[in-house]
Amino acid sequence: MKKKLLSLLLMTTMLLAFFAGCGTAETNGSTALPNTPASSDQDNTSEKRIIKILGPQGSNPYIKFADRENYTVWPELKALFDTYHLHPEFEVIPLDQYKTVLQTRTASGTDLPDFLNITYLDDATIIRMANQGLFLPVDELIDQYSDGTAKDFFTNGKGQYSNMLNTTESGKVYWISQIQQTSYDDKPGSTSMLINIRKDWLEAAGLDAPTTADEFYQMLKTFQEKDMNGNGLKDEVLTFNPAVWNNGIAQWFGLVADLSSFVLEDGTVTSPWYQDGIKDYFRFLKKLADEDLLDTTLIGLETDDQLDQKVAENKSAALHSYTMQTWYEASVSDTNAQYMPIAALKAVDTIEPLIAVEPPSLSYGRWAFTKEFQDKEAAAALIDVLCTEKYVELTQWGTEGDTFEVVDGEKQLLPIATNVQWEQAGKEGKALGDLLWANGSIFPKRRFVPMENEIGIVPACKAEVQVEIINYSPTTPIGTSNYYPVMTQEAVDRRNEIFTDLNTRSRELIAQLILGQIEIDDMDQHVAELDALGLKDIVEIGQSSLNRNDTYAK
Amino acid sequence: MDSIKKGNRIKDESKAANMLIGIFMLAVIFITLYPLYYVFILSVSDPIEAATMKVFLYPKGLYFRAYKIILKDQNIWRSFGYTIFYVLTGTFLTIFTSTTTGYVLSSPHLRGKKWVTIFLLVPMYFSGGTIPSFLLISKLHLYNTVWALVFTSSFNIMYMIYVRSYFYSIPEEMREAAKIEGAGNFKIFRQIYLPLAMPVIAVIAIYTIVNIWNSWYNSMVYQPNTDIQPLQMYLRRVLIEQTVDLTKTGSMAEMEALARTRLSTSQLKYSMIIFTTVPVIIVYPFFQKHFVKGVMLGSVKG
Repeated sequence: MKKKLLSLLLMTTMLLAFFAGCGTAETNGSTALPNTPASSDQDNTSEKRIIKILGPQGSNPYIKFADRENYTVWPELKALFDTYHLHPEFEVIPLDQYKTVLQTRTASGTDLPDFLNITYLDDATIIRMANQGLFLPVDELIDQYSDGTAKDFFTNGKGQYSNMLNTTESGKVYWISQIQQTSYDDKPGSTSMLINIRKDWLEAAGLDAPTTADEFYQMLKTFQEKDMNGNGLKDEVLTFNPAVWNNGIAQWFGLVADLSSFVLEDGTVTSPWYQDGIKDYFRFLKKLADEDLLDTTLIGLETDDQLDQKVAENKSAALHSYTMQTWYEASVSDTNAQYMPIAALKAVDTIEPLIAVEPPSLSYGRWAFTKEFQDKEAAAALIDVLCTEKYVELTQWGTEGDTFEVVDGEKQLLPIATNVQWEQAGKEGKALGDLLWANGSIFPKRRFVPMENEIGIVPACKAEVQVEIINYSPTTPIGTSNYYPVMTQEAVDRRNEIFTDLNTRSRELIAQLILGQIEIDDMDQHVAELDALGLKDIVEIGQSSLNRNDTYAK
Repeated sequence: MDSIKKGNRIKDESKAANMLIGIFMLAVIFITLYPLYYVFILSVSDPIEAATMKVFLYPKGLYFRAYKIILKDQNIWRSFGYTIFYVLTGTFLTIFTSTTTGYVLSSPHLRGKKWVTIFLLVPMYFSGGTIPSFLLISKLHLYNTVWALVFTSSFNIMYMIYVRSYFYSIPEEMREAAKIEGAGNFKIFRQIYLPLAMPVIAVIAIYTIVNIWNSWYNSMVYQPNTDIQPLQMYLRRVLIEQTVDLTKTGSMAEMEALARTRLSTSQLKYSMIIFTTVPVIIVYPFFQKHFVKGVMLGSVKG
């Protein structure tokens, strides 16, 4: 009897455990997450509207959102939230893990926060989720509940362009983005990506900076012949990945900076494969490869490990990076190393070289409200906060006296707020809001900066080139996402269907052409092969998106 | 008759055969051990020398700062502590579930044994996938808790089959004799089968310890709270920071932040690998005796 009762008890326990996972969903609103480090920043929350916010930890190695209470700028932002009776609760996930957390929670529809960074979801997934009602329409929130701040910002103000890009074909907007606008001399201006060459080697070899592709080639040969790194080997090479079109040299031949892109001054979407300079471009790269002036082991790589190794080994005679980059020099084993940018080298007489530029109006990243958030007024209030002048000031400038000062009526960043003093800023608790909570992290940034600030602190050789090319034309964008409004579901699906194979074959062809495994003169055949894989479709999809951009509307 | 007379050169200890086997095994040892040795010498070499990949046989420019960072970092020690917890609880529960289930399945009198076995075998080959598992963990309120890792690693159907197969080799007469003496199933399991199952328990233990020690995927999916994550997640984070594609960031400011991170932690990844590998290397020899006995269990026909 005793054994039977025990067996019955065990079976009942097993059955209960079996069905335990079939319970109903949690109650309305966000589920409370046990052991979640969601910190309450204030004790008295009874009058404030709670917003549960999910976001990734920022990428800055010294300034962490988890330490926000130690920073002078944080109480200012808290005060701004208080003004709008908002009480945010944060759940911060490490950057490497965020995509997984985001995907599992949004796909399962459980443990959803109220406001989150959805940048790491792909376009097709976001649009599908938006159509399924997972995200609240931001434009409706603003129209119905905004106090006017967000409405003005996105309708007539600095958010207008971003709002246009984020508008779906149905006219709805499901997310807000980071907005960064750069200017020079009070006009839109932006940085660019160029080939950077070893300035110290140039001077040691007694050469002038090259102005044509041929001079560049001669420079590389001279570096090898004179053994500039002094190791007895002819290993001074151009280190870049030509499998990506945004590589600096492709632009010398007038090629756009992506598989499908356009010249900003023209507005006609095309592909480098269709452009006039394509054969000359590959002939040039093949010449460099044949003479061991180009490191062919970097072709097609997805990560920068090997590039970093070449730079560290003092073998990189030239590389591709931002005009004003300052981080490569620190990793070279030669402490005298300095890279300087060179722009728009003439490669073909009949072709005007392009420069790849970062859009002066940068709208990127996505932050959305989930359907779990019932308090629509609070949602609109948060958007209003993110559009206030005060938020812009805290994000871009920080706090007066700590990170910026006003000189002759103009704001100027203090040295501690510059990127060369991040570590010190972390120790002293004086950082820009941009570094603490924005930059692809918890909140979208609002940054409207004159480039003069940055130009003023980089080495002269970089600053001079940047100033020289600020008004250069023609240009092609680095990435097209800042020019293409949200695609339709059909366009996204079609693009997803063809892009992987097309891009893979494109990269294979690039490698084969440079290495001489296939003939450059058979370019028509190679292009026909890519057409069969959908290259024309990709271009058409890009063009139809660009046509919806007000600037390029046709 | 001729074939018998020819004999077996290996069995008869031919010197040439022994030499060839020895050389081959030395090569295997080298291939197995050198990667770990290589990582170790990189971890104690100067960062610039390590970055230039000129370190092959011995360390260049001794550099221990990465180990000092590890030893001083509370996050690493906390992750280490939680990993020990997951290993101990996971191993105990896996052994418990495997041996108890194996014992039940090995009983000739179990009703519906065929269906129970099928019920266990089906999920061994087919799983619901990440999202259904996530939903289950979430609805059980285990999400973002230590129990999400403990319970997901507390059973393994393959090990249940191993134990069942092993118990089949124990004469059924022992069970019957114990029953005649008045022993119940719990007593038979505890006092007869369990002591005899040490080899298979050792095998299961070492497999489980190594699996849990090396695992990070479940933590990535179920534990956004870094305070309770295991050591491998920490190592993965350090490694990921080293391989991010800088050109796929949103802006120059973000690219620079990532580049700076990479530079400051470039040496840390090697030290972390050694730090996470050493405990398993230390534990392994203790299971050697039982492991050799039990490693052929998979070949035992049940």
